[in-house]
Order: sequence, then C-alpha cells, then structure tokens
Amino acid sequence: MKKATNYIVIIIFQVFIFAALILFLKAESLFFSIGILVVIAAALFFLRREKRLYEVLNTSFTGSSRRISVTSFIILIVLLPFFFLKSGYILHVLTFALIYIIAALGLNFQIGSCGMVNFAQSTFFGIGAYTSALLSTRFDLSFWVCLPLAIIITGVLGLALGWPSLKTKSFYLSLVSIAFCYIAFLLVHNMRWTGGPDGVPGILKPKIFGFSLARAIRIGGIVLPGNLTYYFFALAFVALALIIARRFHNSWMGLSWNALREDEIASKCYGINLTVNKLLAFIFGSIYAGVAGVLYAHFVGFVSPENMTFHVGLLMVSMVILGGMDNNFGVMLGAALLVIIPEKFRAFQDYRLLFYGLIMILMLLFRPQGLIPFKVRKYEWKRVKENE
Amino acid sequence: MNNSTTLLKASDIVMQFGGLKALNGVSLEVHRDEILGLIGPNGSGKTTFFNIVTGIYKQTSGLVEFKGESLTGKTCQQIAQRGVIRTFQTSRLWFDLSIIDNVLLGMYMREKPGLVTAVFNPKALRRDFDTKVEEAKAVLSIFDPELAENCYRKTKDLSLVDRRRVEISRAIVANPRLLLLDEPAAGMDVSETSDLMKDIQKLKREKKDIGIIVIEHDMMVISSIAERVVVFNFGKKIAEGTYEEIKSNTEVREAYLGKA
Repeated sequence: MKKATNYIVIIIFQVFIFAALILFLKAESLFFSIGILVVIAAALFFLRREKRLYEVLNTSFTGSSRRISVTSFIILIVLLPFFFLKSGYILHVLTFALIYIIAALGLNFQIGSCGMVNFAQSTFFGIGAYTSALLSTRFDLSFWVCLPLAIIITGVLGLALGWPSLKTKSFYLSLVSIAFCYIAFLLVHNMRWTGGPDGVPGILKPKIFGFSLARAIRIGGIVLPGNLTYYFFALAFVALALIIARRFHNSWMGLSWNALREDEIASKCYGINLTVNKLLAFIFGSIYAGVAGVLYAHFVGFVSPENMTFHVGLLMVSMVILGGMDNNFGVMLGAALLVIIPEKFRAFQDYRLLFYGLIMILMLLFRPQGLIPFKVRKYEWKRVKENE
Repeated sequence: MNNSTTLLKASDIVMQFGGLKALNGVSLEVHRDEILGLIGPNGSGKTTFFNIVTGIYKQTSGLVEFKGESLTGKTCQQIAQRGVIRTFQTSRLWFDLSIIDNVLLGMYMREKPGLVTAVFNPKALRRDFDTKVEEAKAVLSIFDPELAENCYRKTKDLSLVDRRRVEISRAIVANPRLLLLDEPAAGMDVSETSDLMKDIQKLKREKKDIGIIVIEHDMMVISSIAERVVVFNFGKKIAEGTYEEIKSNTEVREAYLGKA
C-alpha cells in the first residue's frame, strides 16, 4: 500500500514538473514565464519541509521505486516534443539541451569525479563539430563516418590537453585549460582551411538507412517536423551517454576517480595510478564533448569559432556545478536548465553573463553541492531489496 | 639473522629538508613475522621514515631495500604494489566517500574487473563487488560491528577513533607484506587502545610472514605489542632492543622523559 502511494507521489511530481516546463516554454509573456519559475521554486521549497515526501522523491531514482520513476520519466521525455509540433524554435531549444547534456556528462568525469575544473570542454565540443563539418562538407563523408573519426580526434586531443595538465593541480590546471581553450579558438579563428571567422556552413543532417533526418514525416494529417526526428536522434545519444557514464561511475575507475579527487597521496599509497586515471577522465570527457559537437554541427548545419569560445566552456562548467558534481542526473538537470531558461529570456541576452554569475553566487551560498548532489554508492542490491 | 627473514632493510638513511636533517644516518631492519615498535619524541623523524619507505619523500642518501629489492626511485604506487601499506598519523581517508568505499578501495590492487567488463557486463562487476563488500564488512566487524552495519556513512562524519579503525581496515584488506601503522592508537582511550592492540596481534597471527612497524607515543602500548623496539631522537636511532632493554637505557629515558 505504501509503495503504491510512493509511486503516485513520484508520478504526480514528475507530471507537475513537465507540465510546468511545457507551460514555461509555451509562455508568451515574460511575466508569465517568471511566474512559473517562481511557482516551481516555491513548490520545491515546500517539498523540502515535508520530510517524508522529500525522502520519497529524493530516492525515487535510486531506491526501490526506481523502475517506476525511470519508466514514467522516459514516457514524459518522449511525449514532451509533441506539445511543440508547431513551434520549430522550441524543438530547437530542447534538442540543444540534449546536446549540451552530453557535453556536460563528459565534463562531469573531470570536474565532478576527479575534481579537475576544466574550462576547455567547449574546445572539444568545437573540435568535434569542426571535424564533422569539414569532413562532411569537403570530403562528402556521411555522419556515420564522421562520428567515429571525430571520436578518435577528440580523444587524442583530450590526451594532448591532459598530458601537460597532469603536472598541475587545482587552479593551475584550470588556467592551463583556459589557455588551451583560447589557443584552439584563435587557431580555428585564424586558419584558412577551417573557414576562419566565417565558419563552415552547409552541413547536412544525418541519414538513417537512406532516410534524411531533415525531412518531415507525415502520418495521416499530422506533420512531424524534421526537428522532431532529430530530437529523438539526440535523445538516443543521450541515453547511450548516460548509460555509459553511469557504468563508469560504478566501476573501479569511477571509484578511483573519486579517491584521487579526495586525497592524492592516500590514493598513491594504495596503488591507484593517478596518471592513467586522470588521462582516462580527460579522454572520455573529451570524447563526450566531441560527440555532442558532431550532433550540434549536423543539427544546426553551421559551425563557427563562436561555438568553442571560453564563454561556452564557462557555461558547461556552470552546468556541472549548478546541477550537482558527480551526479549524472544532477548534471543533466543543470545542463537542461542552463540551456532552456536563458533561451526564454532572450530579451535580456546582454545580461546573460550577469545571470550566470548570479546563479553561481546563489548556488554557492545556499546549495554548494549542487541541485542534486553526489550520492554514496550502494552495494548489495539483493539484500537491500529483500529488506524492503 | 640470516638474510631471508629480513623484510625491510634501511641503511644509513639521511633526509635533509633545507638546513634541517630530519633523519641523520638511520639504519634498521624489520623481519618477517615481527612487530617492531618505533618510538621517539615529536619531531624525531618517525613519520619521515615512513614517508621515505612508502615513496612519498625521496631520501637525500641511503638505501631502502624491501625483500632484497631497492625501493629507491620507485613511485608510491610501485611500492604499494609490492605490499608496503601504511596508515597515516592524521587520517587520510577519502572523506567524501562512504566507509565501505574506503575499505573497497583498499582492495584496489587485487584482481578486479576492468573497464570493459564494467561497461559491457555490469552484472559481473556487481558480483565481484558483492563478494568484496562482504569481505570488507567482515574486516570492519573485527574492530566494531557497528561500522559494518553503518558502512554507507561518509567517513567525514565519523569520530576520530572510527576513522582510525576504517583506516586500519583499509590497510588490512590490501594484503600487506609490511604494514606501517602511524600512531594507530592516537586519540583512543585505554580500553579502545588495548582492544586495537589485541586486534593487531590477532592479525599478525592470521597473516603469516607479515611484518608490522608501529609508531607509538605511549610506552605502555609499545610494551604490550612490540617484540622489538627502536628509539629515534633528533633523526638518529639512539637505541634498539626489547622493551625491557630499552626501558633501562638512560639515553632513552632522557630523550623521552626529560632529564630527571
């Protein structure tokens, strides 16, 4: 009986959040969208006070009811774009959110798991995007050839950033990554074969079995726009990225990443190879960014140096810190929020950096561990289940 | 002493920090199946000695040999892989991780499923973790069954005493050949200390051929556990022998208790 009420609470909560999200995206007037944000914030604030409800929701993805919560979440995320069939723009924003989620998941390996604050994630995003853009426009290679090539290139370049960074720690490592970010940006901006400041236009959408994702699908009288199919295409990549990231987190590598974040000397004294583990975090993180970049290039059809500026790197770091370090769901939430909310407030675009700064200050003041913080790993699944 | 029973042999170790000689020509040996007590006043170089053996510091001169192999120039990680495991004076746990994760990471050097298994066969990984978790809990229960029960608590929430217990458990599951305990009883009361010493002796009986060095301030503790005692003062070894011999040594009494 108790279980059933838990399920209902979880489903109601998820539907509420999604309904609020849909209303927020549909809202025409600024006051209305701000109002929705306030309502959500107030609802969450009162939830914190209801200890029992809060506990049920807090453990919904890890506890005994996780099957139900995951299922209902997947259903909602699949249904979400169908509310915006007429608005290509909002579908666009949602797909952006998915793409940035992949990059943020990768950045989390470095910032969340290993404690290495890397501002150069946008560089690898850009490198992935440029690799795919140049290969597909100049050599006419298909998406499915560009993707693995971009993975290899971003992986190798991730190693190239990681290697010198190993000599440094904390702030100095961040400085190295910022320098790397600027160097890569200036190179791409100034070289001729990358298209310089004009970027690379004319990238085609990928094809699956000869079917281009750019085309709209007609079923009966309903037209499903091309952006909708790309939303699901990106969603599939997010699902894969999330599964792999979770498995990394639960592996010995994930555990040793956390160990070296907490105490390097103790880690060394227990045989954990710092060099290899840190490099792996750089390589995998960069590959995630590269894949996100490839998806971006083929989605937008145009890549420019603006995609790999320091500002984008800063945005990605903010996603991880806002969402919750070393919690994959938190990172995804952070990425989604930081893509969707600013898009809605385009009118205040000039104040965007102010907005990020404000969020960071508020987070550090009130919830430094992020919206959904790091959770302790659970073992003994069987026994835990029996006890419940 | 023939050579084969020698586990660790340090000869003429000098460690210089700027103008200060933290260790000044120290030599000592640890044998298999032995608990060696290392005592000395604050700043006499005991922990520095541990840091050199485990590769955290590189000695200015001198030689450290483990089972006849020189440890000079080896990294911490390589030394750990040879079975030299230590605890730290101020606990160095991974504080944001749970008790169980800390002890599990002690088993890092054992055979374990790799990344490919973790990604493509998570069930095999989980089975491996399940057996290791059970073993970790068994070791934790030696010290305190409550630690095993609450093993999902973060170690930063633990008391000083429990932190030490977790740290020693972590060292034990690493299957050490030479175990270096840096003031394991600091902060414990009398009964907790005597329990801990009994557990350490039990451990020595169970794991054959293991050598243990214990740094300790408390002479009573050392008398109950160590078969041989080495005394450091100002970076030099001033005495060596059984507890009874050490006790009557005037130089030791002066260093430790001050001049009467």
